[in-house]
Amino acid sequence: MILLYHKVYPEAKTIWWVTPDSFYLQMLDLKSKKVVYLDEYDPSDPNQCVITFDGVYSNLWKYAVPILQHFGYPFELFIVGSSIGQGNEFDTIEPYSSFADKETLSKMVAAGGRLQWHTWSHSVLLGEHSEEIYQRELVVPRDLLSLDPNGFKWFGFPHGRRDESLKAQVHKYFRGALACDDGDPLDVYDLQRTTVYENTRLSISTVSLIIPCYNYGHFVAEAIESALLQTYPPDEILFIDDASSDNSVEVAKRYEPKIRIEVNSRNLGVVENFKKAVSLTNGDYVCFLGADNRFRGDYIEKCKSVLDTYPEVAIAYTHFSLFGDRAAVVASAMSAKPHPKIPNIFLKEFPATPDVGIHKQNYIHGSSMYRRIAYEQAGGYYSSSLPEDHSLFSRIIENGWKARLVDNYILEYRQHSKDQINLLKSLEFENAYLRSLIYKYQSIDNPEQSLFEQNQQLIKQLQLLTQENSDIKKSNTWKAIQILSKFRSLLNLHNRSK
Amino acid sequence: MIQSKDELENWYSDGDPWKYFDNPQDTMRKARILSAIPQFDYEDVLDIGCGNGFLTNSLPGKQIIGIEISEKAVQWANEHAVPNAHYLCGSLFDLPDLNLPHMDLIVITGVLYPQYIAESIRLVYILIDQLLKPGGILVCSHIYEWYKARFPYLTVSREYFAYREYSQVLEVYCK
Repeated sequence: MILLYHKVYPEAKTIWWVTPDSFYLQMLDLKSKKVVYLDEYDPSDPNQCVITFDGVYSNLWKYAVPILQHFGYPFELFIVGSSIGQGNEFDTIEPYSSFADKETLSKMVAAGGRLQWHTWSHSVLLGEHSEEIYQRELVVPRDLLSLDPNGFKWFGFPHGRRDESLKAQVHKYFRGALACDDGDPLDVYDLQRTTVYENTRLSISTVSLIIPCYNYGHFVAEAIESALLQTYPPDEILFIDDASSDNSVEVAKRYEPKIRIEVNSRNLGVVENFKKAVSLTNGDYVCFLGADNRFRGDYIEKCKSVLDTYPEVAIAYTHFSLFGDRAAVVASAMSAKPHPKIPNIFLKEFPATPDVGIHKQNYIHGSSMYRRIAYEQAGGYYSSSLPEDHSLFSRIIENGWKARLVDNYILEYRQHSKDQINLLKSLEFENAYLRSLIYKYQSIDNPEQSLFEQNQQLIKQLQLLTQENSDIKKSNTWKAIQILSKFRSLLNLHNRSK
Repeated sequence: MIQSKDELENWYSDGDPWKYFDNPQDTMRKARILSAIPQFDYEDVLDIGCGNGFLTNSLPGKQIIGIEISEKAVQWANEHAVPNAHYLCGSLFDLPDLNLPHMDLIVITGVLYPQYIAESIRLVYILIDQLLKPGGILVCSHIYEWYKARFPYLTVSREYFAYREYSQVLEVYCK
């Protein structure tokens, strides 16, 4: 596969522009492929990929090259000789954009780019032309050749337009030539390229993220936001509430329709709830996030990449960090080490190659990402003497699948007590939410007097609520609760050390 | 639409266009940000999109650099700089071209909004990661309603507080 890009910029102004956010996701989707230069490209290998840019526009330097370097991908730049360092005023339909100058082209070559030839003037060269015109359009001037000693072996047809006479000329000067979407996947002098647009996704798999919840209203918002703000967004997020008696569902509903919500009419318990959740989702890969925990921003990206790259691996597991008011207590019990810099955060590591089997030691935590096909093959979650996740992962491995470690602390695992201290954080967040409502409703300009008055009354109620929340936090009772909870955790620590 | 540089230059014709220095809300915001920064001995510190240096001049650190797109703001900030701070002209996207040292602490406040970065937050993660030392601290404070980011680092703390007619979300990360 050969990809064709033109401009990369924070706003997609026309179909020829791709934003850095989309470009990043498209590049991420190539991680399981082998990205090569055209010189190494084997068109018959479906696992190979080439990234090409036509133009070449100067915005690539700021908005595409750092992303390409981040992934360590080589890339091909098809330059139009006469446009170097110029603007695109001739292109009256497209918004203004400048072409890279020689200095920028050199920097791009140093960053892993290779220069190729896209003619001198970007003219359509159909039919017969004089030798002079072919020389001018197809022969790369010496001063440009020196910009890239490894480049200029490949040719890009201007506007993708070509015929047999042009191809015959191109044969004389180049190792191969690239067309656009109507090219041939295997013909080296007419290679097909896939034009990439803002909405193009190249992923070979989909991810379902499930947030099971039972009375974790205080923490739900943090868990959901950590799921929504992933560097690689999951294809679906299912929030499944197992008949909570607190405000869990109310908080979750604020995030619809970005998340889907399922509320059980009666409490099913962990195993039945998990089974139901998986059956309600469709992704090729599945992972659970406890409603009291949070994913680091790159959780989905890192786990998905492992499953995309290694077809024999069914489970991607990770290390995790422990936080929260009971983290110290739990850390000593599970031999997690203190974070080298940050107090009250602990790091739990798991082995890449465990000494003992999964039956003896569970090194795969319950939030690990797994393949649906392996889950189904193993018969899903069921009740046994082992915890539900340990039992599932043991059966998947027994079936011959591999588990692979993602060597990062990307799950943030909360260790909390039922203390009131959690309420403080959640009140703080609740205030932020209420204030955002006030802000929103104040800016609604409603011509109808009755609605306007209703609106004003609601705003007043909200303001009173936020005031009450703040007052609670200022009260001596509140402070006393906090001090008491600190005493209690100290006491816990003290008792453990005895 | 991304706000143009000309528009920002125009805005910074006033040395303190956001009225940070007169507003008790901003004094409080500054105090909250400063108290959230973990207490380490920081050598190199960077404030990205520092405006007139309202927060920058109070940051801990041996050498403090403030980056701001508006030349006028940079000039004003340099005239009012504390001895260990200096200010450079450049946008977030110019960071790789500025040849900056690797940082122990990076602060970014009121910058990661659509009018400045549009759809490029994933690029921003990379640009900041290139500059932050392993184990380095990143502090972000933004208006909650306008901010859609989560850095791929360990969350040290996240707090919300009232600010003008909005809420701020103040995050501390460790790389």
